[in-house]
Amino acid sequence: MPGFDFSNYNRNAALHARGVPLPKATSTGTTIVGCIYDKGVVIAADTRATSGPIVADKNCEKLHYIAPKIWCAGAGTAADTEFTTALISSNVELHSLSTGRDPRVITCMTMLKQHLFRYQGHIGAYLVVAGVDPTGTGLYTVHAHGSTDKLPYVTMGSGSLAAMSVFESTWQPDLDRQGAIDICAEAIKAGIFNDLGSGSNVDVCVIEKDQPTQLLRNYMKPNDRPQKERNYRFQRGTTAYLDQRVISKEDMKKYVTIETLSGDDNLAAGDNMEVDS
Amino acid sequence: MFIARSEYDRGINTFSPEGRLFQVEYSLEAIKLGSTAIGVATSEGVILGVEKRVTSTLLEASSVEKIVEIDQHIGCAMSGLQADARNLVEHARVECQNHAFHYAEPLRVESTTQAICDLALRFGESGDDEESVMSRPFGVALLIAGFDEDGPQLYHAEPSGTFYRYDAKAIGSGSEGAQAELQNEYHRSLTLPEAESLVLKTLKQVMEEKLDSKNVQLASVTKEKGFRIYNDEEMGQAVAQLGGNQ
Amino acid sequence: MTSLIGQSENIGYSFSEPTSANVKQHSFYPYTDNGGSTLGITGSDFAILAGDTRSTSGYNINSRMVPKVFKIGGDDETGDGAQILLSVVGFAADGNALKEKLDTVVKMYKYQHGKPMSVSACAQRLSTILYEKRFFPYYVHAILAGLDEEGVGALYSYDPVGSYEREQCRAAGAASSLIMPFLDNQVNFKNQYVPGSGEGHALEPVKAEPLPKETVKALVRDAFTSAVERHIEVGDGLQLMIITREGIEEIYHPLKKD
Repeated sequence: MPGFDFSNYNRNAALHARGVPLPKATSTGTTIVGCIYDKGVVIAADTRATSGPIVADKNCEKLHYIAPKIWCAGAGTAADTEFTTALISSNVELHSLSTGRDPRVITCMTMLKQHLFRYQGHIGAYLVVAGVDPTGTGLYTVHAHGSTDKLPYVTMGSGSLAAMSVFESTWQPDLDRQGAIDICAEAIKAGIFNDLGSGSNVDVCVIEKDQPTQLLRNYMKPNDRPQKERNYRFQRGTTAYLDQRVISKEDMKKYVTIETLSGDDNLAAGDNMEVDS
Repeated sequence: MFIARSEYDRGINTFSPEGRLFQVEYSLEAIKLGSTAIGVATSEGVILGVEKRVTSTLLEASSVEKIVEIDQHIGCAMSGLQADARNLVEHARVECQNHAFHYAEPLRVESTTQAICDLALRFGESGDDEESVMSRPFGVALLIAGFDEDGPQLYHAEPSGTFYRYDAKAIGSGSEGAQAELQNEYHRSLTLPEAESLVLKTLKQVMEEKLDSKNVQLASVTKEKGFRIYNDEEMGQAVAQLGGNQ
Repeated sequence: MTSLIGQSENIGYSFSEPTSANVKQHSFYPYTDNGGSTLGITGSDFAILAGDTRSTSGYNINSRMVPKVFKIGGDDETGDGAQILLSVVGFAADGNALKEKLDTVVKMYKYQHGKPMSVSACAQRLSTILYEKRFFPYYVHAILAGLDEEGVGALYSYDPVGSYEREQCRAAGAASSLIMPFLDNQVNFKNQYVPGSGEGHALEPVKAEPLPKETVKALVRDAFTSAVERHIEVGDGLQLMIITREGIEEIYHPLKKD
């Protein structure tokens, strides 16, 4: 790994000292949870990404693949969770290849914490690591500074208190698969509705020994957008323009190959377009 | 010891056993010594007229100011102690400006009158932490003429703090005779010029001196022009008209 | 930081760098932002004021039902008889204080002058109330609405220290930057041109005309359901107040709660 490029550090520090604000990173405000059950482990997350008070993505994915039976839920700076999990996923794969054994959750957790500790919290990744391996079921939290916890049920992110209230009031030992999914989904919903940093839908990932891992994307959609009351399609020719140039198909054929497909005239209609799925 | 009655003369906030406030009553007497002032309200506007007592040929008649502007749409005529009237008018002017500042609209004529009467009652002994109050009631009465959304209006305000709206009202030394004349002559369909001559005619009857354009002053309030004091030329015309009519 | 070994024997740790001795800076910031958004639009014979009903602090929801639109100068607690509406967004405590003050002033005006206060007079009075606190402002964006002397919808919007302007429409609060461009385009038809009226940039702009009430109501609801999608501090409920010659109609509408 070539590592980070620090060549702009001094320049940016000088700019910051003169009052230039730091750029705003997309944060996954976030509620993430995890819970073990008799045969495996469930993790779940909301799907809202924010930039300050603005919703940057209404249906983002916060459940990250590490290995077939190890998954990670990420909170904090979106880029950091994304890159850290991708990096560790690669390293876990290499480690598994060189040892010839299935990767263990504790190994993944250790690699994550060592990576994060080295960067003293500057990598803002807050993670829930879960999976099954030859030693059994694993569920951990990893904080950006490198500390970890091992618990039967965990929550992280800005909605962690709301989510934890669900676990603390309704969790019981010896949950079955559906019981674990239900309590995780309920905890995420508590975050979605009571924490402004969390919102939209519930994603769930179920990892069980001798079963294929199930990623239940949008397991619940409790926040569908209501139908708009008015039609906001503009009549063609409504917009003024500075310049107009018509490039004929014949002219374009000089530069590219053009193949005509049967098309729907309404394809460009904004109303039918789903932006964030 | 003094005789019983004079004791109640002194305290300006003390009722007599018969329920009278002598100082306030005396202040009303002071007005009866003042020059006559008359106001007549019509549907077109209000006319104010005062008698100016030019007591000496050496006195500059234009320096006797008995009709003054309060705001663009309100003016008043006075009878009694002129210096006291300045205080009341100053207060009314401030209230009008304050209202215009806060509400971007002119103060109503009734509200202006009320504001004046509020000040009229601030006499008596002050408490320890109270701001100082006046030692005696005002010795002046005002005829307040104005125009607002309710049309032209005429109010009479007294030192007692009470006020009434009138169609036509006379105050001052000649008020009794003048009021009787107004009672006879007033009717609802008066025009503004008719009101003007009624005011002058009535003043003429009650004045000791012979009425001329120097010893009376007129003013009008109309929707179009607001409050206006007649200049020398207009006074000359009005007085000449009166002579012609008779 | 005071060192036990004294200033003279200062060891060169970066974290023990002494600041000037025992200087404590105290600070007190009495304002909070309670989020939410408001919006007002006028028509030829009505005015609409709307606001969401969520109150927030940070990432928390204080309440899902805190109205931001108020009747001013009504005869009783229910606000019946009022002919003026006020919406406030920003710091809720200041908003409430401002509403109470203006309400009292309007009621006193009626007693003192024997007539209800006109919207234009109320607009000027609200400006002076705000400017009175020029150096400790009410931390709010206020919008005042009613009908003018001709019975036409009137809307006045304010900055926190009393600068104001009569407008056709205005959005304020957290999602104002999301809603206002939509209003410019859909109410005043900004950036819309009559198709075929010219070439390129020399087009005839679509002329803005007062919109009918039902259209405005739909626009308001669409503005808020859209703001809810993209602003985390807007949601839970929509409060709509519509003032016409017949009086004030109040409508509540659910919004998404996430």
